[in-house]
Amino acid sequence: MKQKKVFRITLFILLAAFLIIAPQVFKSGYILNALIDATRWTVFALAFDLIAGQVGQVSLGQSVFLGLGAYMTSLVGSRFGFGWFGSILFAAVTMAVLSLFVGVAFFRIRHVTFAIGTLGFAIIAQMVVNSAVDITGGSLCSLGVKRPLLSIPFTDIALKITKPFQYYYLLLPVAALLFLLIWAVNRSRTGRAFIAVREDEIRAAAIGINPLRYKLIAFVLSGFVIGALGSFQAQYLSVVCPSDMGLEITNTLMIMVFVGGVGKMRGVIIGAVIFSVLPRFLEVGGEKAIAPQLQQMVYGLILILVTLYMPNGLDGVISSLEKKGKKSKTPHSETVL
Amino acid sequence: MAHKDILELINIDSGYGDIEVLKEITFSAREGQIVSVLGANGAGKSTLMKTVFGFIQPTRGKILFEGKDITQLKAIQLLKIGISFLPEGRSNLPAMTVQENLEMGAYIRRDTLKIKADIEGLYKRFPILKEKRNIMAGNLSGGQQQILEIAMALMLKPKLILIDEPTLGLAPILVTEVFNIIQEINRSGTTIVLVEQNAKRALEISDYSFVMELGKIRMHGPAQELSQKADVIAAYLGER
Repeated sequence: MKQKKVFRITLFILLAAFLIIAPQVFKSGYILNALIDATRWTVFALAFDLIAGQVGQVSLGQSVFLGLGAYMTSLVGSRFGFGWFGSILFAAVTMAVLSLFVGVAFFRIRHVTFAIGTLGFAIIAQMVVNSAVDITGGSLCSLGVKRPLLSIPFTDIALKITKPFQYYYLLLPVAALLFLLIWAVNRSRTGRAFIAVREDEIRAAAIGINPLRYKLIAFVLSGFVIGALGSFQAQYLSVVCPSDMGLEITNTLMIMVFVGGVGKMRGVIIGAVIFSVLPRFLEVGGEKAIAPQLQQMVYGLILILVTLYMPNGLDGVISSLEKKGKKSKTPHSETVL
Repeated sequence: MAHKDILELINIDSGYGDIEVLKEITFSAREGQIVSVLGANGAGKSTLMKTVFGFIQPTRGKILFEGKDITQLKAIQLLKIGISFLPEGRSNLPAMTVQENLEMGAYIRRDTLKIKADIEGLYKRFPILKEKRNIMAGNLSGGQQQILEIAMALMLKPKLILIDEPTLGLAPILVTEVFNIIQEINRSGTTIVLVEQNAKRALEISDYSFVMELGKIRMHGPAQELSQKADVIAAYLGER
Protein backbone atom coordinates (compact mmCIF):
# COMPACT_ATOMS: atom_id res chain seq x y z
CA MET A 1 0.00 0.00 0.00
CA LYS A 2 2.95 2.32 0.61
CA GLN A 3 4.29 1.36 -2.78
CA LYS A 4 1.01 2.40 -4.31
CA LYS A 5 1.21 5.81 -2.68
CA VAL A 6 4.78 6.36 -3.92
CA PHE A 7 3.68 5.28 -7.38
CA ARG A 8 0.78 7.71 -7.33
CA ILE A 9 2.87 10.65 -6.16
CA THR A 10 5.52 9.91 -8.79
CA LEU A 11 2.87 9.71 -11.48
CA PHE A 12 1.36 12.98 -10.30
CA ILE A 13 4.72 14.80 -10.32
CA LEU A 14 5.58 13.46 -13.79
CA LEU A 15 2.21 14.54 -15.11
CA ALA A 16 2.55 18.01 -13.60
CA ALA A 17 6.08 18.34 -15.00
CA PHE A 18 4.84 17.25 -18.42
CA LEU A 19 2.04 19.80 -18.36
CA ILE A 20 4.43 22.58 -17.36
CA ILE A 21 7.13 21.90 -19.98
CA ALA A 22 4.79 20.74 -22.77
CA PRO A 23 4.78 24.09 -24.65
CA GLN A 24 8.60 23.99 -24.77
CA VAL A 25 8.44 20.60 -26.48
CA PHE A 26 5.42 20.98 -28.71
CA LYS A 27 5.64 24.22 -30.61
CA SER A 28 2.67 23.58 -32.85
CA GLY A 29 -0.42 25.61 -32.05
CA TYR A 30 -2.49 22.58 -33.00
CA ILE A 31 -1.11 20.46 -30.19
CA LEU A 32 -1.19 23.34 -27.73
CA ASN A 33 -4.85 23.95 -28.47
CA ALA A 34 -5.46 20.24 -27.91
CA LEU A 35 -3.70 20.54 -24.55
CA ILE A 36 -5.80 23.57 -23.61
CA ASP A 37 -8.95 21.67 -24.55
CA ALA A 38 -7.94 18.58 -22.61
CA THR A 39 -7.14 20.67 -19.55
CA ARG A 40 -10.36 22.64 -19.45
CA TRP A 41 -12.56 19.66 -20.33
CA THR A 42 -10.93 17.69 -17.53
CA VAL A 43 -11.79 20.32 -14.94
CA PHE A 44 -15.25 20.76 -16.49
CA ALA A 45 -15.95 17.02 -16.35
CA LEU A 46 -14.77 16.84 -12.73
CA ALA A 47 -17.14 19.69 -11.85
CA PHE A 48 -20.00 17.85 -13.60
CA ASP A 49 -19.05 14.68 -11.72
CA LEU A 50 -19.36 16.50 -8.38
CA ILE A 51 -23.11 16.35 -8.92
CA ALA A 52 -23.56 13.33 -11.19
CA GLY A 53 -20.97 11.18 -9.48
CA GLN A 54 -20.41 12.33 -5.91
CA VAL A 55 -23.92 13.25 -4.77
CA GLY A 56 -25.48 11.11 -7.48
CA GLN A 57 -27.87 13.52 -9.18
CA VAL A 58 -27.29 13.89 -12.92
CA SER A 59 -27.71 17.55 -13.85
CA LEU A 60 -28.21 18.13 -17.56
CA GLY A 61 -28.01 21.88 -17.04
CA GLN A 62 -24.34 22.44 -16.24
CA SER A 63 -23.62 23.76 -19.75
CA VAL A 64 -25.70 26.81 -18.79
CA PHE A 65 -23.13 27.86 -16.21
CA LEU A 66 -20.35 27.59 -18.80
CA GLY A 67 -22.28 29.74 -21.27
CA LEU A 68 -23.50 32.30 -18.76
CA GLY A 69 -20.04 32.44 -17.19
CA ALA A 70 -18.73 33.31 -20.65
CA TYR A 71 -21.44 35.95 -21.15
CA MET A 72 -20.65 37.43 -17.73
CA THR A 73 -17.17 38.01 -19.07
CA SER A 74 -18.13 39.43 -22.47
CA LEU A 75 -20.99 41.59 -21.17
CA VAL A 76 -19.66 42.63 -17.77
CA GLY A 77 -16.06 41.68 -17.01
CA SER A 78 -14.63 42.76 -20.33
CA ARG A 79 -16.80 45.88 -20.64
CA PHE A 80 -16.03 47.20 -17.17
CA GLY A 81 -12.35 46.30 -17.22
CA PHE A 82 -12.22 43.62 -14.55
CA GLY A 83 -9.02 42.23 -16.05
CA TRP A 84 -8.52 38.62 -17.02
CA PHE A 85 -8.41 37.18 -13.53
CA GLY A 86 -11.05 39.55 -12.17
CA SER A 87 -13.35 38.39 -14.96
CA ILE A 88 -12.76 34.75 -14.09
CA LEU A 89 -13.47 35.40 -10.42
CA PHE A 90 -16.57 37.44 -11.24
CA ALA A 91 -17.97 34.72 -13.51
CA ALA A 92 -17.20 32.03 -10.93
CA VAL A 93 -18.91 33.89 -8.09
CA THR A 94 -22.00 34.91 -10.08
CA MET A 95 -22.41 31.33 -11.36
CA ALA A 96 -22.02 29.99 -7.81
CA VAL A 97 -24.81 32.32 -6.66
CA LEU A 98 -27.00 31.37 -9.62
CA SER A 99 -26.33 27.69 -8.84
CA LEU A 100 -27.60 28.20 -5.33
CA PHE A 101 -30.95 29.48 -6.63
CA VAL A 102 -31.20 26.82 -9.34
CA GLY A 103 -30.23 24.14 -6.82
CA VAL A 104 -32.83 25.21 -4.25
CA ALA A 105 -35.47 25.12 -6.98
CA PHE A 106 -34.49 21.82 -8.63
CA PHE A 107 -33.38 19.72 -5.67
CA ARG A 108 -37.04 19.53 -4.69
CA ILE A 109 -37.06 16.73 -7.24
CA ARG A 110 -34.72 13.77 -7.54
CA HIS A 111 -32.93 11.43 -9.91
CA VAL A 112 -34.73 11.12 -13.24
CA THR A 113 -37.06 14.05 -12.62
CA PHE A 114 -34.08 16.14 -11.53
CA ALA A 115 -32.27 15.27 -14.76
CA ILE A 116 -35.32 16.17 -16.87
CA GLY A 117 -35.93 19.36 -14.88
CA THR A 118 -32.37 20.59 -15.32
CA LEU A 119 -32.57 19.67 -19.01
CA GLY A 120 -35.62 21.94 -19.29
CA PHE A 121 -33.67 24.65 -17.50
CA ALA A 122 -30.85 24.33 -20.05
CA ILE A 123 -33.22 24.51 -23.03
CA ILE A 124 -35.03 27.56 -21.66
CA ALA A 125 -31.79 29.34 -20.71
CA GLN A 126 -30.37 28.84 -24.19
CA MET A 127 -33.59 30.10 -25.80
CA VAL A 128 -33.58 33.19 -23.60
CA VAL A 129 -29.96 33.96 -24.46
CA ASN A 130 -30.73 33.38 -28.13
CA SER A 131 -33.71 35.76 -28.08
CA ALA A 132 -32.22 38.54 -25.98
CA VAL A 133 -30.56 39.92 -29.11
CA ASP A 134 -30.13 43.42 -27.68
CA ILE A 135 -28.02 42.15 -24.83
CA THR A 136 -26.30 39.01 -26.07
CA GLY A 137 -26.30 39.56 -29.82
CA GLY A 138 -28.39 36.40 -30.13
CA SER A 139 -27.21 33.88 -32.66
CA LEU A 140 -24.81 36.49 -34.10
CA CYS A 141 -22.84 36.01 -30.86
CA SER A 142 -21.31 38.46 -28.43
CA LEU A 143 -18.10 39.70 -29.97
CA GLY A 144 -15.13 41.65 -28.85
CA VAL A 145 -14.15 40.05 -25.58
CA LYS A 146 -10.88 41.69 -24.61
CA ARG A 147 -7.71 39.66 -24.86
CA PRO A 148 -6.16 39.18 -21.44
CA LEU A 149 -3.52 41.74 -20.51
CA LEU A 150 -0.86 40.53 -18.16
CA SER A 151 1.04 43.29 -16.43
CA ILE A 152 4.56 42.26 -15.58
CA PRO A 153 5.52 43.20 -12.02
CA PHE A 154 7.95 46.13 -11.49
CA THR A 155 7.66 47.27 -15.10
CA ASP A 156 5.21 49.27 -17.16
CA ILE A 157 4.96 46.49 -19.68
CA ALA A 158 1.61 44.81 -20.13
CA LEU A 159 1.74 41.61 -22.11
CA LYS A 160 -1.18 40.98 -24.43
CA ILE A 161 -2.10 37.32 -24.49
CA THR A 162 -2.77 36.11 -28.01
CA LYS A 163 -0.72 32.99 -28.67
CA PRO A 164 -1.82 29.48 -27.69
CA PHE A 165 1.18 28.86 -25.44
CA GLN A 166 0.47 32.09 -23.57
CA TYR A 167 -3.15 31.05 -23.08
CA TYR A 168 -1.95 27.66 -21.97
CA TYR A 169 0.19 29.16 -19.23
CA LEU A 170 -2.67 31.38 -18.20
CA LEU A 171 -5.04 28.41 -17.95
CA LEU A 172 -2.71 25.98 -16.22
CA PRO A 173 -2.55 27.63 -12.75
CA VAL A 174 -6.30 28.37 -12.79
CA ALA A 175 -7.09 24.79 -13.81
CA ALA A 176 -4.67 23.47 -11.19
CA LEU A 177 -6.34 25.52 -8.44
CA LEU A 178 -9.82 24.40 -9.48
CA PHE A 179 -8.63 20.80 -9.70
CA LEU A 180 -7.12 20.97 -6.21
CA LEU A 181 -10.32 22.52 -4.89
CA ILE A 182 -12.45 19.64 -6.21
CA TRP A 183 -9.90 17.07 -5.10
CA ALA A 184 -9.68 18.47 -1.58
CA VAL A 185 -13.46 18.62 -1.18
CA ASN A 186 -13.93 15.07 -2.46
CA ARG A 187 -11.36 13.77 0.02
CA SER A 188 -12.73 15.72 2.97
CA ARG A 189 -15.52 15.00 5.45
CA THR A 190 -17.80 16.86 3.06
CA GLY A 191 -16.82 14.48 0.25
CA ARG A 192 -17.77 11.52 2.40
CA ALA A 193 -21.10 13.12 3.15
CA PHE A 194 -21.63 13.48 -0.64
CA ILE A 195 -21.19 9.74 -1.04
CA ALA A 196 -23.49 8.98 1.88
CA VAL A 197 -26.18 11.13 0.23
CA ARG A 198 -25.62 9.34 -3.09
CA GLU A 199 -25.83 5.88 -1.53
CA ASP A 200 -28.89 6.38 0.66
CA GLU A 201 -30.49 9.71 1.47
CA ILE A 202 -32.58 8.40 4.33
CA ARG A 203 -29.63 6.66 5.91
CA ALA A 204 -27.54 9.81 5.47
CA ALA A 205 -30.23 11.82 7.22
CA ALA A 206 -30.37 9.23 9.99
CA ILE A 207 -26.66 9.71 10.77
CA GLY A 208 -27.01 13.48 10.82
CA ILE A 209 -26.19 14.46 7.23
CA ASN A 210 -28.72 16.84 5.72
CA PRO A 211 -29.03 15.61 2.09
CA LEU A 212 -30.26 18.91 0.64
CA ARG A 213 -27.44 20.83 2.24
CA TYR A 214 -24.74 18.62 0.74
CA LYS A 215 -26.39 18.53 -2.67
CA LEU A 216 -26.36 22.32 -2.62
CA ILE A 217 -22.71 22.46 -1.57
CA ALA A 218 -21.78 20.22 -4.52
CA PHE A 219 -23.99 22.17 -6.92
CA VAL A 220 -22.64 25.58 -5.91
CA LEU A 221 -19.05 24.35 -6.05
CA SER A 222 -19.72 22.92 -9.51
CA GLY A 223 -21.24 26.21 -10.66
CA PHE A 224 -18.24 28.13 -9.32
CA VAL A 225 -15.74 25.97 -11.19
CA ILE A 226 -17.75 25.90 -14.43
CA GLY A 227 -18.32 29.68 -14.32
CA ALA A 228 -14.56 30.20 -14.09
CA LEU A 229 -14.02 27.90 -17.08
CA GLY A 230 -16.68 29.79 -19.04
CA SER A 231 -14.87 33.06 -18.45
CA PHE A 232 -11.59 31.55 -19.58
CA GLN A 233 -13.27 30.25 -22.71
CA ALA A 234 -14.71 33.69 -23.53
CA GLN A 235 -11.27 35.29 -23.24
CA TYR A 236 -9.62 32.48 -25.19
CA LEU A 237 -12.04 32.48 -28.13
CA SER A 238 -12.91 36.21 -27.72
CA VAL A 239 -16.46 35.44 -28.78
CA VAL A 240 -19.45 34.00 -26.90
CA CYS A 241 -22.34 32.28 -28.67
CA PRO A 242 -25.57 30.66 -27.48
CA SER A 243 -24.18 27.35 -28.70
CA ASP A 244 -21.56 27.62 -25.93
CA MET A 245 -24.30 26.48 -23.59
CA GLY A 246 -25.84 23.94 -25.97
CA LEU A 247 -26.90 20.41 -25.27
CA GLU A 248 -23.97 19.00 -27.27
CA ILE A 249 -21.77 20.19 -24.43
CA THR A 250 -23.82 18.18 -21.95
CA ASN A 251 -23.64 15.16 -24.27
CA THR A 252 -19.86 15.44 -24.32
CA LEU A 253 -19.74 15.74 -20.51
CA MET A 254 -21.93 12.67 -20.15
CA ILE A 255 -19.75 10.56 -22.37
CA MET A 256 -16.55 11.71 -20.66
CA VAL A 257 -17.87 11.01 -17.19
CA PHE A 258 -19.80 7.80 -17.83
CA VAL A 259 -17.20 6.19 -20.10
CA GLY A 260 -14.42 7.26 -17.76
CA GLY A 261 -16.15 6.12 -14.58
CA VAL A 262 -18.81 8.15 -12.83
CA GLY A 263 -17.92 9.15 -9.28
CA LYS A 264 -14.22 8.28 -9.72
CA MET A 265 -11.84 11.19 -10.29
CA ARG A 266 -9.26 8.99 -12.01
CA GLY A 267 -11.84 7.66 -14.44
CA VAL A 268 -13.33 11.07 -15.15
CA ILE A 269 -9.89 12.49 -15.94
CA ILE A 270 -9.15 9.62 -18.34
CA GLY A 271 -12.55 10.02 -20.02
CA ALA A 272 -12.14 13.77 -20.37
CA VAL A 273 -8.69 13.50 -21.91
CA ILE A 274 -9.74 10.79 -24.36
CA PHE A 275 -12.89 12.51 -25.56
CA SER A 276 -11.38 15.98 -25.83
CA VAL A 277 -8.39 14.75 -27.83
CA LEU A 278 -10.12 12.03 -29.86
CA PRO A 279 -12.16 14.36 -32.10
CA ARG A 280 -8.95 16.04 -33.18
CA PHE A 281 -7.55 12.76 -34.43
CA LEU A 282 -10.67 12.41 -36.51
CA GLU A 283 -9.82 15.65 -38.29
CA VAL A 284 -7.69 15.16 -41.37
CA GLY A 285 -5.82 18.10 -42.81
CA GLY A 286 -7.98 20.61 -40.99
CA GLU A 287 -11.17 19.09 -42.39
CA LYS A 288 -13.38 16.98 -40.26
CA ALA A 289 -13.25 13.43 -41.58
CA ILE A 290 -16.44 12.73 -39.71
CA ALA A 291 -19.36 15.11 -39.74
CA PRO A 292 -20.14 16.51 -36.28
CA GLN A 293 -23.61 14.96 -36.35
CA LEU A 294 -22.09 11.57 -37.02
CA GLN A 295 -19.68 12.14 -34.18
CA GLN A 296 -22.59 12.72 -31.78
CA MET A 297 -24.17 9.51 -33.05
CA VAL A 298 -21.01 7.55 -32.40
CA TYR A 299 -20.84 9.09 -28.93
CA GLY A 300 -24.40 8.02 -28.25
CA LEU A 301 -23.63 4.49 -29.36
CA ILE A 302 -20.53 4.34 -27.15
CA LEU A 303 -22.60 5.59 -24.20
CA ILE A 304 -25.19 2.85 -24.69
CA LEU A 305 -22.55 0.13 -24.98
CA VAL A 306 -20.68 1.37 -21.91
CA THR A 307 -23.77 1.49 -19.70
CA LEU A 308 -24.62 -2.05 -20.83
CA TYR A 309 -21.22 -3.71 -20.62
CA MET A 310 -18.97 -1.46 -18.51
CA PRO A 311 -21.21 0.12 -15.86
CA ASN A 312 -18.17 1.29 -13.89
CA GLY A 313 -16.50 2.71 -16.98
CA LEU A 314 -12.80 2.60 -17.76
CA ASP A 315 -12.03 3.18 -14.10
CA GLY A 316 -13.82 -0.05 -13.26
CA VAL A 317 -11.79 -1.91 -15.87
CA ILE A 318 -8.54 -0.49 -14.47
CA SER A 319 -9.58 -1.36 -10.92
CA SER A 320 -10.33 -4.97 -11.79
CA LEU A 321 -7.02 -5.25 -13.64
CA GLU A 322 -5.23 -3.86 -10.57
CA LYS A 323 -6.99 -6.38 -8.37
CA LYS A 324 -5.99 -9.25 -10.62
CA GLY A 325 -2.38 -8.06 -10.64
CA LYS A 326 -2.40 -7.77 -6.88
CA LYS A 327 -3.88 -11.22 -6.35
CA SER A 328 -1.19 -12.90 -8.41
CA LYS A 329 1.59 -11.05 -6.58
CA THR A 330 0.63 -10.54 -2.94
CA PRO A 331 -2.40 -12.59 -2.03
CA HIS A 332 -2.67 -11.28 1.55
CA SER A 333 -2.16 -7.58 1.00
CA GLU A 334 -4.73 -5.27 2.49
CA THR A 335 -6.65 -2.95 0.25
CA VAL A 336 -6.22 0.34 2.03
CA LEU A 337 -5.95 3.57 0.13
CA MET B 1 -36.66 0.00 40.43
CA ALA B 2 -38.45 3.17 39.49
CA HIS B 3 -39.28 2.99 35.82
CA LYS B 4 -39.76 6.24 34.00
CA ASP B 5 -40.82 6.88 30.46
CA ILE B 6 -37.90 7.83 28.21
CA LEU B 7 -40.10 8.50 25.17
CA GLU B 8 -43.70 9.70 25.17
CA LEU B 9 -46.02 10.59 22.33
CA ILE B 10 -49.14 12.47 23.31
CA ASN B 11 -52.05 12.67 20.88
CA ILE B 12 -49.92 12.69 17.75
CA ASP B 13 -51.47 13.27 14.33
CA SER B 14 -49.04 12.99 11.44
CA GLY B 15 -48.79 12.21 7.75
CA TYR B 16 -47.57 13.30 4.34
CA GLY B 17 -49.01 16.56 3.07
CA ASP B 18 -52.77 16.30 3.16
CA ILE B 19 -52.74 12.58 3.79
CA GLU B 20 -53.12 11.90 7.48
CA VAL B 21 -51.56 8.59 8.41
CA LEU B 22 -51.37 8.67 12.20
CA LYS B 23 -54.40 9.56 14.28
CA GLU B 24 -54.24 10.39 17.98
CA ILE B 25 -51.27 8.23 18.75
CA THR B 26 -50.42 8.03 22.40
CA PHE B 27 -47.40 5.91 23.08
CA SER B 28 -44.73 5.55 25.67
CA ALA B 29 -41.53 3.59 26.10
CA ARG B 30 -40.02 2.94 29.49
CA GLU B 31 -36.35 3.45 30.06
CA GLY B 32 -34.33 0.27 29.71
CA GLN B 33 -37.01 -1.75 27.97
CA ILE B 34 -37.53 -3.21 24.53
CA VAL B 35 -40.82 -1.82 23.27
CA SER B 36 -42.19 -3.17 20.03
CA VAL B 37 -44.66 -1.65 17.61
CA LEU B 38 -46.51 -4.33 15.67
CA GLY B 39 -48.79 -4.02 12.70
CA ALA B 40 -49.42 -5.02 9.11
CA ASN B 41 -48.08 -3.22 6.05
CA GLY B 42 -49.50 0.27 5.89
CA ALA B 43 -50.49 0.40 9.55
CA GLY B 44 -48.35 3.52 9.98
CA LYS B 45 -45.42 2.01 11.86
CA SER B 46 -42.72 3.55 9.70
CA THR B 47 -44.54 6.90 9.67
CA LEU B 48 -44.50 6.74 13.45
CA MET B 49 -40.72 6.25 13.48
CA LYS B 50 -40.15 9.04 10.96
CA THR B 51 -42.32 11.37 13.00
CA VAL B 52 -40.40 10.67 16.19
CA PHE B 53 -37.09 11.21 14.37
CA GLY B 54 -38.11 14.56 12.92
CA PHE B 55 -38.32 13.51 9.25
CA ILE B 56 -42.02 14.37 9.35
CA GLN B 57 -43.54 17.11 11.47
CA PRO B 58 -46.65 16.03 13.35
CA THR B 59 -49.71 18.20 12.70
CA ARG B 60 -50.86 17.84 16.29
CA GLY B 61 -49.59 16.56 19.61
CA LYS B 62 -46.34 16.46 21.52
CA ILE B 63 -43.31 14.21 21.66
CA LEU B 64 -41.29 14.08 24.87
CA PHE B 65 -37.84 12.60 25.43
CA GLU B 66 -36.76 12.30 29.06
CA GLY B 67 -39.60 14.67 29.84
CA LYS B 68 -38.42 17.37 27.44
CA ASP B 69 -40.41 18.48 24.42
CA ILE B 70 -38.62 17.34 21.23
CA THR B 71 -41.53 17.76 18.81
CA GLN B 72 -39.78 20.45 16.76
CA LEU B 73 -36.25 19.04 16.81
CA LYS B 74 -34.44 17.94 13.63
CA ALA B 75 -32.59 14.66 13.14
CA ILE B 76 -29.17 16.07 13.94
CA GLN B 77 -30.37 17.56 17.23
CA LEU B 78 -32.03 14.27 18.18
CA LEU B 79 -28.79 12.41 17.49
CA LYS B 80 -26.98 14.82 19.79
CA ILE B 81 -29.38 14.28 22.71
CA GLY B 82 -29.14 10.49 22.39
CA ILE B 83 -31.72 9.17 19.93
CA SER B 84 -30.62 7.08 16.95
CA PHE B 85 -32.72 5.75 14.10
CA LEU B 86 -32.19 2.73 11.87
CA PRO B 87 -34.37 3.12 8.79
CA GLU B 88 -36.11 0.19 7.19
CA GLY B 89 -34.27 -2.27 4.97
CA ARG B 90 -30.59 -2.39 4.09
CA SER B 91 -29.37 1.05 4.92
CA ASN B 92 -25.61 1.10 5.29
CA LEU B 93 -23.32 2.74 2.75
CA PRO B 94 -22.57 -0.18 0.40
CA ALA B 95 -19.69 1.48 -1.49
CA MET B 96 -17.74 2.15 1.70
CA THR B 97 -15.83 -0.38 3.80
CA VAL B 98 -17.09 -1.63 7.15
CA GLN B 99 -14.57 0.59 8.89
CA GLU B 100 -15.65 3.64 6.90
CA ASN B 101 -19.28 2.88 7.65
CA LEU B 102 -18.53 2.88 11.36
CA GLU B 103 -16.71 6.20 10.98
CA MET B 104 -19.73 7.57 9.13
CA GLY B 105 -21.92 6.45 12.03
CA ALA B 106 -19.98 8.98 14.09
CA TYR B 107 -20.29 11.70 11.43
CA ILE B 108 -21.60 14.34 13.83
CA ARG B 109 -18.73 13.69 16.25
CA ARG B 110 -15.44 15.55 15.88
CA ASP B 111 -13.22 13.68 18.34
CA THR B 112 -11.25 11.60 15.85
CA LEU B 113 -9.09 9.76 18.40
CA LYS B 114 -12.03 8.79 20.55
CA ILE B 115 -13.87 7.57 17.46
CA LYS B 116 -11.01 5.20 16.67
CA ALA B 117 -11.07 3.82 20.20
CA ASP B 118 -14.85 3.35 20.04
CA ILE B 119 -14.54 1.47 16.75
CA GLU B 120 -11.98 -0.85 18.36
CA GLY B 121 -14.47 -1.36 21.19
CA LEU B 122 -17.17 -2.33 18.71
CA TYR B 123 -14.77 -4.72 16.98
CA LYS B 124 -14.33 -6.53 20.30
CA ARG B 125 -18.07 -6.73 20.70
CA PHE B 126 -18.75 -7.83 17.11
CA PRO B 127 -15.68 -9.79 15.95
CA ILE B 128 -17.27 -10.43 12.56
CA LEU B 129 -17.02 -6.70 11.80
CA LYS B 130 -13.33 -6.67 12.64
CA GLU B 131 -12.76 -9.61 10.33
CA LYS B 132 -14.54 -7.76 7.51
CA ARG B 133 -13.27 -4.26 8.31
CA ASN B 134 -11.83 -3.64 4.85
CA ILE B 135 -14.66 -5.29 2.93
CA MET B 136 -17.25 -3.12 1.18
CA ALA B 137 -20.42 -3.12 3.24
CA GLY B 138 -22.41 -4.05 0.14
CA ASN B 139 -20.53 -7.35 -0.04
CA LEU B 140 -21.56 -8.49 3.45
CA SER B 141 -24.38 -10.96 4.01
CA GLY B 142 -27.78 -9.60 5.01
CA GLY B 143 -27.32 -10.45 8.68
CA GLN B 144 -23.82 -8.95 8.79
CA GLN B 145 -25.13 -5.76 7.21
CA GLN B 146 -27.78 -5.52 9.89
CA ILE B 147 -25.15 -5.97 12.60
CA LEU B 148 -23.06 -3.26 10.94
CA GLU B 149 -26.02 -0.90 10.91
CA ILE B 150 -26.70 -1.45 14.59
CA ALA B 151 -23.00 -0.91 15.31
CA MET B 152 -23.11 2.35 13.30
CA ALA B 153 -25.92 3.57 15.52
CA LEU B 154 -23.93 2.60 18.63
CA MET B 155 -21.11 4.95 17.57
CA LEU B 156 -23.14 7.80 19.09
CA LYS B 157 -23.80 5.86 22.31
CA PRO B 158 -27.54 6.56 22.11
CA LYS B 159 -29.89 6.24 25.07
CA LEU B 160 -32.68 5.22 22.72
CA ILE B 161 -32.54 3.42 19.36
CA LEU B 162 -35.51 3.34 17.01
CA ILE B 163 -35.23 0.29 14.76
CA ASP B 164 -37.52 -0.07 11.76
CA GLU B 165 -38.01 -3.69 10.62
CA PRO B 166 -34.47 -4.98 11.10
CA THR B 167 -35.46 -8.49 10.00
CA LEU B 168 -37.00 -7.52 6.67
CA GLY B 169 -35.89 -10.11 4.14
CA LEU B 170 -33.65 -12.05 6.53
CA ALA B 171 -33.59 -15.84 6.82
CA PRO B 172 -35.13 -17.13 10.10
CA ILE B 173 -31.77 -18.08 11.57
CA LEU B 174 -30.46 -14.56 10.96
CA VAL B 175 -33.58 -13.11 12.56
CA THR B 176 -32.58 -14.90 15.75
CA GLU B 177 -29.04 -13.55 15.47
CA VAL B 178 -30.19 -9.96 14.97
CA PHE B 179 -32.70 -10.23 17.82
CA ASN B 180 -29.98 -11.60 20.10
CA ILE B 181 -27.87 -8.57 19.37
CA ILE B 182 -30.78 -6.21 20.01
CA GLN B 183 -31.32 -7.93 23.36
CA GLU B 184 -27.64 -7.65 24.19
CA ILE B 185 -27.61 -3.94 23.44
CA ASN B 186 -30.71 -3.50 25.54
CA ARG B 187 -29.08 -5.31 28.46
CA SER B 188 -26.20 -2.85 28.34
CA GLY B 189 -28.67 -0.07 29.05
CA THR B 190 -30.07 1.21 25.76
CA THR B 191 -33.81 1.52 25.35
CA ILE B 192 -35.08 -0.01 22.12
CA VAL B 193 -38.20 0.84 20.15
CA LEU B 194 -38.60 -1.91 17.60
CA VAL B 195 -40.98 -1.86 14.66
CA GLU B 196 -41.84 -5.34 13.37
CA GLN B 197 -44.29 -7.20 11.18
CA ASN B 198 -43.12 -10.49 12.62
CA ALA B 199 -45.28 -10.20 15.76
CA LYS B 200 -44.57 -13.61 17.22
CA ARG B 201 -40.81 -13.22 17.23
CA ALA B 202 -40.95 -9.58 18.32
CA LEU B 203 -43.18 -10.39 21.32
CA GLU B 204 -40.60 -12.95 22.47
CA ILE B 205 -37.96 -10.30 23.04
CA SER B 206 -40.14 -7.31 23.98
CA ASP B 207 -41.09 -6.07 27.41
CA TYR B 208 -44.05 -4.11 26.16
CA SER B 209 -45.89 -3.92 22.85
CA PHE B 210 -48.22 -1.71 20.89
CA VAL B 211 -50.38 -3.04 18.06
CA MET B 212 -51.23 -0.61 15.27
CA GLU B 213 -53.88 -0.77 12.59
CA LEU B 214 -54.80 1.92 10.05
CA GLY B 215 -52.87 4.64 11.83
CA LYS B 216 -54.24 3.97 15.31
CA ILE B 217 -53.05 2.09 18.35
CA ARG B 218 -55.52 -0.80 18.73
CA MET B 219 -54.11 -2.45 21.82
CA HIS B 220 -51.08 -2.36 24.06
CA GLY B 221 -49.75 -4.12 27.09
CA PRO B 222 -46.91 -6.18 28.49
CA ALA B 223 -45.57 -8.47 25.78
CA GLN B 224 -46.23 -11.60 27.84
CA GLU B 225 -49.89 -10.70 28.19
CA LEU B 226 -50.25 -9.88 24.52
CA SER B 227 -48.66 -13.12 23.43
CA GLN B 228 -51.55 -14.89 25.19
CA LYS B 229 -53.85 -13.09 22.77
CA ALA B 230 -51.90 -14.15 19.71
CA ASP B 231 -55.09 -14.81 17.76
CA VAL B 232 -56.39 -11.31 18.41
CA ILE B 233 -53.14 -9.78 17.27
CA ALA B 234 -53.13 -11.99 14.18
CA ALA B 235 -56.48 -10.50 13.26
CA TYR B 236 -54.91 -7.02 13.21
CA LEU B 237 -51.86 -8.17 11.36
CA GLY B 238 -53.74 -10.03 8.66
CA GLU B 239 -52.71 -13.57 7.78
CA ARG B 240 -49.24 -13.76 9.26
